[in-house]
This record gives sequence, structure tokens and C-alpha cells, in this order.
Amino acid sequence: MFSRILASTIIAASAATSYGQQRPSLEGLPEILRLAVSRADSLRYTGVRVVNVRARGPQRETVEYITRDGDRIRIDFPNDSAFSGQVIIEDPTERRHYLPGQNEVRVLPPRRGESLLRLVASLARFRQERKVSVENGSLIAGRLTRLLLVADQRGNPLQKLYIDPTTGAVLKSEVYDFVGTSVGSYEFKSIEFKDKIDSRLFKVSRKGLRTVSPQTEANELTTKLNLRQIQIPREFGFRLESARVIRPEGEPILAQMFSSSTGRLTVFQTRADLKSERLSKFARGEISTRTWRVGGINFAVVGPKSTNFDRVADRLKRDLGGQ
Amino acid sequence: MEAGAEEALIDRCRKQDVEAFGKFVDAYQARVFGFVKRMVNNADEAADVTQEVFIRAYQSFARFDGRSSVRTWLFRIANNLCIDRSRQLGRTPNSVGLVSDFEDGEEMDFSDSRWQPEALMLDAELIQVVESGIAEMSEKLKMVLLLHDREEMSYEEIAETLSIPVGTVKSRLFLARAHLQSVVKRYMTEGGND
Amino acid sequence: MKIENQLDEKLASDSMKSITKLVKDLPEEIPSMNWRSQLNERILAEAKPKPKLDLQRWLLRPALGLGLAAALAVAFVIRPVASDSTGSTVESLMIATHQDDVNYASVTGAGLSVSEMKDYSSPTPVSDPLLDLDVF
Repeated sequence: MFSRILASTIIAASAATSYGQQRPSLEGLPEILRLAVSRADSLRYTGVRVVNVRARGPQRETVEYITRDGDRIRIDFPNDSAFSGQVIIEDPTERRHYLPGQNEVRVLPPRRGESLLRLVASLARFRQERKVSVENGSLIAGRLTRLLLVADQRGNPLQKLYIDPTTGAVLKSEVYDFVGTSVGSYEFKSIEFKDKIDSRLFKVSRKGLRTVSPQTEANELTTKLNLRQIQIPREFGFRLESARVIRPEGEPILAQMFSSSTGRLTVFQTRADLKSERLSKFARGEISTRTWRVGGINFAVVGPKSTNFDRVADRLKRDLGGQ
Repeated sequence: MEAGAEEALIDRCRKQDVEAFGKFVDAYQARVFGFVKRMVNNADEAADVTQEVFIRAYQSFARFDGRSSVRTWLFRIANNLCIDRSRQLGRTPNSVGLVSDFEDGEEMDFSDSRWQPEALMLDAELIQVVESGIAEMSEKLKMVLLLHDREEMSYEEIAETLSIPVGTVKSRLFLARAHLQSVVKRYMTEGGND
Repeated sequence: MKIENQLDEKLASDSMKSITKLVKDLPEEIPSMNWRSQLNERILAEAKPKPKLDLQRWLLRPALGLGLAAALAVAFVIRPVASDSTGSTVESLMIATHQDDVNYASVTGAGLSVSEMKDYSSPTPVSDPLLDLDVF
């Protein structure tokens, strides 16, 4: 049983625009995880996976048809799915989500490589507080797996990955919150590895689609709510992934989610009262928070504990006129 | 459950009546699970241990002689299994809470308007604070606190469950509550840092 | 005896009682349906051979009915410790929103995010043919 990740695994926090450019050091990681990371860009398969997420309310389950060719992935949905007709195609530079019902295509930063890279980054960052073990996993999609278990110091599971030792494919993943409650999982029900995938499957063309980006949405929302437009300079490696309004009772809160190869960061704006000390109390130690107030608007930045976070927060505060 | 009804149920459980035992589990599963989860600080382990508690209870119900309450008996099984599990996992007991954070005679200041017990609502934030405070404690303090303040067992019942003197129950309970007092006080008085 | 009396007095104080109330009011922990289903199976395995009638009565009980239903479910849900529906503070909602985003990204990868699941689901399947028919 691995009790600790060795010190040499460090992820460069420099800007990166694609998964392929970030090659983390794998020294000291369990062999099965090294295999999964090293093979991630070369897997080629079609499969069906079931995704379950629990979002502070009813559990949601979706079935996805996955076509993967190395660093490209295509996701379709069954005919009886609530997402039937939608197609997601992702390569190392962008994610395109086709929504025929809305006659639009949403262009977003890529997400696929995140989970493994971020796991490796997290293990490097929190190596003192994580326990990693490997044991025999269960049969998933007809294939024997090895189970990689990442736990906190008390032994509470944080993530479980069931990895095919032959191919390095992660066939099942389970994520847990800080008290060990499952917050979501995916599991392949069937998978077929291929020698070749038709590259045409990753090209979609249709005239007349409206192209929507998160920035478009963010601009619309900030104008509507009379809030500030926010940009994180490219040099920090974060790209805007989504902008939405969350509404507790009272004033709305605009949440803008940014992603990078090393972490996710959320910038909030609201005219509601915001208490810095309460925010940091809820953060519980592994998340950094920063707040300030300018012109009647309260800003909060929430993200992973790192020097990059501090630099981003400092820069945002300065750019927005915070003292 | 009324006393008479519970007695009849226990009689049937002694005879390994599966249906009766199902009702017994219905009555106690949440309480046992909550106790175990707070003792072992791990949801997966807690689920596993709680199942073991009920399996052991089912297996040994025939030997339950009624000298203690069934609740005492059941929580003794739970407590023993929690300790066993901790030993198996090689967990070192926390030392927090062995010394009171309060000086002799010092108590919470009620003149502080923020400390109005009847007004202190257990919101999500405070729940986290209290749960963290409990998690920090040693097993010895935790089990007394949970059995008394949550399960409403008497000192004597707890003493019997844990095989310790009543005086020890009281002193551990005091230390456990004092620790939570200091945790809550810190939460309420700590300033911001931005 | 004097020391024990002092201890009794301290334990009976208002401040100590308020701690009791906090502990007492902590949310209940309810095991999942899947957990109960597994326990039921194990108990049945332990049970001595019984007249069929008793087992049937057991099987018809609502609690075990729930357990059987759970056995058919794809995944199980553990009830959250604290609801954040009403009474959520702005701060707790911010942290929860961020943490949900991080957690779900770890699960879904390139698939639909949780907000996309909410925003882009349609009650009836879309009849528009797959876009790649244009390619072929």
C-alpha cells in the first residue's frame, strides 16, 4: 500500500492551452496511474457509459455514447435521452457542444484531460495529506480492473478509479466529498477498443448555427445584472468555461467558472452581503478564497491553494480597482 | 416504540424472527449509523461497521437476557466494533479534548449577544463546526458525548455500556462538552482576515 | 463527593446544556437504500430455515420493498447531511457551487456538466437528425 506520493511529482503551473502540452512528471506515482496518464492520448475505442451526479437535489443519470480517438472525443446520446440529438466533440484545443434544439454550438475550453491531470496535480500539491493505494478492482464492462484509491489522511475516500491494466483506460470513476459521500460516478457498461476510428466522426458542419461562447454569455449577464466584466489574462492559463447566475433568496450571484490544466477557479460577483471570514471558514483548508468590494459589488475568488491562485486573485483585484 | 410493543418485538428477535428483526433495524439503523459514522469518521467504514453491528445483534439476540436495555446492548456492540475497526486500521486516537480549554470556573459569557442558546440556530455552517469539533476528539470523549447528549442515555447506562465508572462518564462528558464550547466560541469570535 | 457535586453542577449549567442541544440537533444520518438492501440479504442468509409464510410476510414489508427497489437502481444516494435549499448563506452557496463544479468535472470529463444537464435537457427527445449526416 502506498502511504504517500514521493516528492518529485510536480506539475508546471505555467500557461498551457492544451492537454498535450502539459506532461506532468509521473515519478513516484503508482504504476497503474502512470499507465493511465501515459496512455490517455492514445486510447481508441467506442463505448457506452453511464454518468451519475448528485447535485444537492435529485440524482441525475445520463447515458453517453463515447467515441474516442486518442486526444479527440465525441459524445452522442441515446434517442430516448433528454439530450438526444446533441453532440459534443472535443479535441485538445476546444470543446464544441452542438445543440440542434437551440440551433447553436457552444464553444468551450476542452475538459477531457482534466480529471487525470488534476488528480496528478492534486497528489503533488497535497502529497502529505493524501493516501494512495492500489488493489484488485471489479469487472467493469467485462474487463478486469485495478482499483486506484485516493483517500485523505483519515482514510475517507476522495476518488476511486477502476483502470484496465491492459489498456490504461479508466473504466469507472467515483468521486467523494470531504465526508466520504459519493457525489458522482461514471461507469462504462460496454467498451470496444479499436485500431482505427473514422476521423470524419469528429467533423460536424451545419449552416446557420449560432456560435455561443462562455464570454458571450458572461457579457450578456454582466450587462443585465449591472456587474463588471471579468477577464483573467491568458498568461495564467485559465479559460472561461461558463457563466451563470445562482440565486439564493435575495440578490443574485454571478458565477464565472474558469478551468486550467491544474485547477478550476470561480469568480463570483454579487451585491448581496458577503463575509470574508465566513467564506474562508466554509473553504475548510484546501480551497483558497479572496474577497473585496468595489463600487457596491462584492467579489469573491475561490480556487485551489497555490501561488498561481494568489497571483490571479491579486491581478483581478488590481484590475477591478480593489484596494 | 411503546415499552410493551418493544418487549414483544425483542422476544420475537430472540427467536431469530427475521420480520421482527427488520422492525428492530428500522428503529435503530439511523441512530447506530450516526453514532458509528461520528466514531470512525469515514462513511464507507461506517456503513460497513453498522452492518456488522446488526449482523452481530441478529446472531446473538438469543443470548440477550434483558438485564440491560436493548439499546445499551446494541450500542455496546457498536462501540466495540468501532474500537476494533480503529485498531485494525492502526489509527492513533486523537488527543484533543483531554484537557479543558477553559480555566477553572470560566464559562461562556452570556452577556455576549451573539451567544443566545435559544437563538443559536444550527445552520449548515455551525453543523460543520460542531461535527469537526466532535471529529477532533478522542474516542473516549466522543463515545460518552454521543451516547449521553445524542442518545440520551443516563450516566449509569453509559457506564454499563462502556464498562467504566459513573464518575469517569461525567468527567469525560464535561471535557467533551468543554472542547465543543471552545470550538464554538472560537467560531463565533474569530475575526476576518481580508 | 464534593468534586463530583461540582462536576454535576457544571454539567447542569446552561452553557453545557446548550452544547447538549447542539449535539442533539445535529442532522440524522440515514443509511442508503442500497445499504439496507445489502443488510437484508445478509440477514436472510443468516436466518434459519423458516416456514415460507414468514419469509413472504418479510418480503412484503414496505422497508424491504424499498430495499428491493434499491437493488434495481443503477446507483445509490446517501442523503446529504444538511440541505442548502433555504437558509443557505451566500458564502456557503459560493463554496458549494465551486466545489460541485470541481467534483463534477472530475466525474464527467468531456461529458455534460451539471449545469448543462439542467440547462439543456429537453422533456421530449429532439427529432432533429444527427448533424453528421451532412458529412456523409
